[in-house]
Amino acid sequence: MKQFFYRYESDILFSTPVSAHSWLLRCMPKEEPFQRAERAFVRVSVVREDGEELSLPVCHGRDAFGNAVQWGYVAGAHCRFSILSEGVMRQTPYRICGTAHDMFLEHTALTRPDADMERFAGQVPLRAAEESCEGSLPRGKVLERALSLCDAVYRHMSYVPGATTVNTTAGQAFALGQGVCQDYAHILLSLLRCSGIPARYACGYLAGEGAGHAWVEFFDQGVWRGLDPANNRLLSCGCIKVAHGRDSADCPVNRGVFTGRAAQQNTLAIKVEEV
Amino acid sequence: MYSLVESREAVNNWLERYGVRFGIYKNGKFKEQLFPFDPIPRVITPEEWAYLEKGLSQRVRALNLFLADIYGEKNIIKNNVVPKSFVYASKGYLPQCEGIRPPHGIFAHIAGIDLVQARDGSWFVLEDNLRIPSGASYPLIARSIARKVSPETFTANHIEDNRNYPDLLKHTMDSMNVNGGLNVVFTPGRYNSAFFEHAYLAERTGAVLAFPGDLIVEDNHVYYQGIFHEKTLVGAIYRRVSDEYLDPMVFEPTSLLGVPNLMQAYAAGNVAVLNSPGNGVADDKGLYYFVPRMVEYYLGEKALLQNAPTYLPYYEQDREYVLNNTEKLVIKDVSEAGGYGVVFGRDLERDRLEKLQELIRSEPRRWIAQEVINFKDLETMEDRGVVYRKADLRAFVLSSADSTVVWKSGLTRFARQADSFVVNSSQGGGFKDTWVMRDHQSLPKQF
Repeated sequence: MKQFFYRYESDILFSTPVSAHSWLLRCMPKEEPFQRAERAFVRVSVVREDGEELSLPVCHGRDAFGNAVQWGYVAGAHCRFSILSEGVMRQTPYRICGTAHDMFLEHTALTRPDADMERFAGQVPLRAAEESCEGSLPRGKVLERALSLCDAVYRHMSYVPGATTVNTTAGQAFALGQGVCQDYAHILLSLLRCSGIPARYACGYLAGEGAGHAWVEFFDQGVWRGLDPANNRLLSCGCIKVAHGRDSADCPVNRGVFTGRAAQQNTLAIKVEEV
Repeated sequence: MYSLVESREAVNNWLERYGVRFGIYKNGKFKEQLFPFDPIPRVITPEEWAYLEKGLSQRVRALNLFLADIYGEKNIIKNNVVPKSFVYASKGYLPQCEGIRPPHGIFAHIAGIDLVQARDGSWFVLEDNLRIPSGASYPLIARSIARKVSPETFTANHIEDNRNYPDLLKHTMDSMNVNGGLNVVFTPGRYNSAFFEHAYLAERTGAVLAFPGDLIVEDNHVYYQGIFHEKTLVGAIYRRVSDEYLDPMVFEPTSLLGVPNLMQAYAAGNVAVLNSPGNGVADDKGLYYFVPRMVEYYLGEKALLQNAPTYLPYYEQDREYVLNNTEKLVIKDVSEAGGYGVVFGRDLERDRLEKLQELIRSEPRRWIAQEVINFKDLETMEDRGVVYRKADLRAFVLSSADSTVVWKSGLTRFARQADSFVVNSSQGGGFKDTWVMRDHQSLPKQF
């Protein structure tokens, strides 16, 4: 059992005031067997034109994937929107016992493989599981296959921020050979699903990183495991899971709709520390 | 009756004055056209109607149970009655609706079931429409105009009065309304092809016609704020905006037509949404094949209404048949609607036929194939006299907390061209009133 402190802070500055702003956030940890919140809160506020800061009421609930969502509405004009999500999590090694919904076998617009990827998936050789994980894990075909595919994605891709956008598909990133954690995850999801392994997109905060991270969960013998293709490893402790879905489009951190023609400037700071 | 037939022009002129139009998009341009009305009605005998009524109500009850099951326990998949890949690969299946139970467990409140009648008199269901089926307003307004233009027709013939549709719809909205707030008809706006219907049904049911931007979600409740920005609580939304545009926070993020965070308020039970989001999984052209099995599975009864003979290339045996008989079948792309993506094998040139067969081999899940039903032609009045045209019938089934009711009328659409089987209004078809007779005394003979 380990304890981690996390803090997610994000500000959006609008170049001119906006109003009638609806928002929906996924910035609090998801309730999972391997992680329990010791304490957790979220604070959402806006700064009005006159400079006064206004704390907003937050609705709490879950989306259809069981992710914690926070949402609300602010009618009045404001030029800054701020989120602070903070807490302490108790964690055991990454492991979620449960079932796999069949939708996690279906490709989505973002993960649909093209012919090159299907060929690639067929050519990835199986390799022994112990190379990249602790010996205590059970060995099985699915695990070995998942690790092999993860390794193959890691070798095929170069981590290049800015080469792709949030809307880049697995096929596009694969052809480019470049991308960030989201692209790595989409490609691995695509290859896992091609191999008949239920797989879902997961995201959250990683110890020691300053930004959000995305990885993959795959289902093997009643257990979902975390697999991080951008770092080519199975996940254990120190990664705070926020949400999962079929692909990144199911778990955006912040979606908003407002009235106003404003340019946006975002700042983001994420901190995860063992305590 | 003759006076009504002779008043064809007068009725059409009145329809034009009332703005009864149907919008179509052609080559990227929006065009409104009149929806041509034919005064010769489709006539349904009391016995025939009793059968249809029973069959339609049974079918819609089963479809509602299927939807509750798919977004709930999924027993029909666990029991291998419906293959899971048909459900989860369907465009209409929305994972965002998993676990949501709408008020009273009803998903399809307003269902439009398309039927055709074969020459031997037997009826077949061609498709179910459980998302935003349009059409009820047309026979509704045509009937009230026809009654004014030719009142004697309606005293001489004992026809079930169909002018109760707004009452049925209002009852459905009221019974779903979760908090006594407003009933609203939520329209995407005047450039929607069925905008006339949205406005007319709102007026006739006493609901508020809401446009994008009129509805907001605050404190997880839905409010109507209109132009004066006075907030009024909303209890039921009869929405005519399609699923993908309904809530930009959960579905298509670029949608400007939706209500942000509507899905959260709906999931919390703070508003009723008619029809429920996610219904597309049950009116999917592929799942259609399984509807008679759903009736047996959920209700323990034989399905009274039959499907048109349908083949799923997904099953190897059916695929063989479809590939060997493509030229006599009608092939439908399961992801298309409104008469698009429908191909008659006999109309295809050799190379296009082969191309289609190639597609059926490579993507079997995408297609269904049906025998061409030789449906009964209906008498239709043209300038030069009576001609015979193919026609279908869209029946409307309304489900509320306590009942499933079939409206005693329906939209009869007919093809404008001789020999055409495509009756969709988006493809230029016209419409007729549908008379359900109260007795035999007054069955009109020939027109």
